[in-house]
Order: sequence, then structure tokens, then C-alpha cells
Amino acid sequence: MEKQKMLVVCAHVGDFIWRSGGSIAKYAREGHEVTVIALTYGIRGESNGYWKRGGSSADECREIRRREGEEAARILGVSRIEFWDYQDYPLLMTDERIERLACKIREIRPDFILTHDKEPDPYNMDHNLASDALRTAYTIASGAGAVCNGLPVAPRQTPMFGFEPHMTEISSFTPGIYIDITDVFEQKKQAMACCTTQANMSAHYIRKAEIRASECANRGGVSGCRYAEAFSTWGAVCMHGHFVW
Amino acid sequence: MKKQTMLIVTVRASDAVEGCGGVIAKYAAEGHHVELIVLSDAEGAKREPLLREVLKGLGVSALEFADRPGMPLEWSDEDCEWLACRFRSIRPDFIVTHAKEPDLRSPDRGYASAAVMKSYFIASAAGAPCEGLPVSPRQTPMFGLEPTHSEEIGWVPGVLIDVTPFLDQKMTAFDRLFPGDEHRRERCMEQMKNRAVHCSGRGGVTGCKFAEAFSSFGPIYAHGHFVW
Repeated sequence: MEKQKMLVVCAHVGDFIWRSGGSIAKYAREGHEVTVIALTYGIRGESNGYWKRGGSSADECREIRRREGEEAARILGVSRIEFWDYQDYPLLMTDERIERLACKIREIRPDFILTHDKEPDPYNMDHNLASDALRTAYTIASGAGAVCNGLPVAPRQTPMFGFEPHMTEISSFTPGIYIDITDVFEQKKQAMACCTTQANMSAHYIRKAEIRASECANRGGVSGCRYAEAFSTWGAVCMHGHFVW
Repeated sequence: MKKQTMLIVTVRASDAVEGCGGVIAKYAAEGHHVELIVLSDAEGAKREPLLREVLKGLGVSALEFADRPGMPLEWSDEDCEWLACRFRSIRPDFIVTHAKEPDLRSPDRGYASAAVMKSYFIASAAGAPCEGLPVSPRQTPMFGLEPTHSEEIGWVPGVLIDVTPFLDQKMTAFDRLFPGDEHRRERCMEQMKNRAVHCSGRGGVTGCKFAEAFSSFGPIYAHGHFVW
């Protein structure tokens, strides 16, 4: 398999860990290049564990969240992580910020992108705002007339995949692809454990990975799969040229 | 790539030529095994020799006619048990049949797809007798042929396959089954050209001039990666 570039764009720092940590670790272990962009630290809405501590402040929260994100990225083997430090709850993606994201896409030229699903998530509007912004940014990046610092135009066809949201059915999430992460699951567990500001998440995402693995093994024929991550697919599969591969 | 068995189940034999003739030729050229089961007798016994000859020429190595009454397709519980036994005996790596969405203009296609799913359900049940044949695995992937009015029935392409090198083979077969049907021929060609635009322009398959599209009934598990 040719070396690829994976771009992960998430609303809050923790999202890349729960929703794609295993796939990131798998790709990194195979020598692919993984870039993560966290649009916010999730200071307002995704650090509730931190705000229960005494003497809390936004500045200290930012520091802690950055350290947690960096440590998780290191464990997973991420090549580069960027924190854009926008406000969360709600995330505000202005035209300028979207242009910045478009330029970043042109600069990285990813082979594929992972981000939040395109279906409405009634429990976390930041996830949709991030997903919408990413798609708008990609439209700009693939428009030959858009300036973007003179960087070469992005191809039209970069495949995108959607994260599994916290509550799948109510967010109308349909799994389109499963990734077996059994061999790297210890890394994902360690990365999740870094997130002391959201300590309640790990157990839930371990169970999710077990459930997705049972589907992957029993319905997908991937024998030996004990942990898996699911993603939605946004486009049709063209590149393989066959049905089953 | 390991040699696979592709099983196609359609209402008429000509559905397979029109919907996936290019893919049949492609899989056959690559040394895979291609089988076709035709459910209805709508094409008539007189046409059977021609259909056999044309499908064989395209690369189908086994062709069975279930010969059940068509329009509307009569497919009984016993017929499902029969098809289940065929699945267990053929053990396909994947199945191509009509779209799973009900087709208002060609209801038999929806009935056929439902019959395939029901029969497969039986084949994968360890307690179903099926002449003592070994039980089918749960996970055999299924793909749906592109219907004539895709949006009307809510059909969504899941896999596009470049069939450019096999166009002549497909259209030779097509012309033998539908001689002089210019309208049908044009529609078939235009649809493949449009899918090729998607396949090359949105799928990055350079040089694709003709493609066939299929819906996928389930998610992708087997590859283990995002892009392949």
C-alpha cells in the first residue's frame, strides 16, 4: 500500500481520540502521515471534569487541554497536531476561518479526510458546525479560482469519512466502513486515559469498539477483530474497481 | 487477488447483461467464476438457447433458469427454500441482484431482491435443513443493480466499477438480445458514460470512459482501510 496522508479535523480536542484514535494509530504504525486539526480546546463545553476542580480558570484549562491533546497525539503517533483555539459551545466558523481551513487543505493535500458526520447531531451542534465548515472549506480548496496563498488547487475527489457520534441512531449515523483496530487498541486506551478533563468517556468508547468489532467479525468476516471503529462514507467507492476486496 | 465466485440473481437474463454485463466480462477475464440464476420465465423458453449462448460468451460459466411465472413474479416459500439451497451449494463470495428498494415501474425487480434476501437469510440459518449442505456465512456482501429511475426509488450508488475495456463485449451481447432497440441502447450507453464521469471526476479513476454503478447493501468491513 502506497503511503498516504490522513487529515483529521475535529471540533474539540478529545474528538480525534474517541472517534478515530484507533484508526490514527493504525495508519501511523503503517508509516502513513497523520495530521490533526482541533478547532477548539473545548474549554467551555468539553472540560466539565476540569471545572469541578477548585480555582479553575479558562487559561489553566487551555494549558491542561493542550497537554492532554499533545500527549494523546504522541501516543497515537500523530505526525502533526494543530490547535486553532477557537471558542466552543458554540463553535464559530467565520468566512476567514473557513478560508484558513481551505488553505490548510491545499497545503496538506490529504489522500482522505476524517471529520464529524454530515448528519445533524442534536446533542452537539459544534460537531455539525465543524463538519459543515470542513465541507465548505473543501469546496473552496477545490475551486481553481480561489486564491489560497497561491497553493495548488485541491482535487475534487478526496474521500471523506464521518466520525461515529456519541448517540448514533438519534444522529442518523449509518456505518459505511469499519476499521479493525485490534492491534493498536492499547494505544487508543492510553490516549483516552490522557484526557483527565473528560474521564467519563473511556469506558463508553471501549464498549463501542467492542460492539463494532463484533459486527466487523460476524457480519464483515474480519476474523480475530476484537476492537473496531465505524465511520460513515459520504461518497461512492470508485477506486477499487471490484466489489469485494 | 484471490479467485472469487460472483453470483448474479435477476428477474430476466437480459437484466444481467444490461445492468452488469461489463462487470461480468471483467470478472470472467480476471479468472473469477461467474454464475447467474434467472428467476422468472418472462423471457420465454424459445429465447433460452440465445440467452445461454450470449451469457456464456460474456463469461457466465453457469446459468440456471428457475422459470417461475413473472409479471408479477410468483416466488413462494418453497422457492425461497430452493434458492437457499442454491446459495449453500454455490457459496458465492458476493451476490449481485436488483436494488433492495421497491421498484414501482418494474415491481418484479423489488420482489426478486426481497426473495434473494429472504433466501439468503434461510441459507445462513444453521438449523435450516437445505439438503444437508453446509450453512452459508452471515456476511456475504450484496450489491444492487442500478434501476432505470434511480432517484424515484431512492437508489444510491455505493460502488462504481470501471468497465471501459469490456464495453465492446457488453454491447455485442446487448445487441444480440435487443436488436434494433436504439432507445434502450442509447439509455444504457448514456448511463454508463454518466457513471464514468462520476468515477473519473469524483472517484479519481483516470481514463474511465464507461462505468457500471451498484448500491451496496451493507457497510465495508473487509479491507481494513479507508482508501484502497
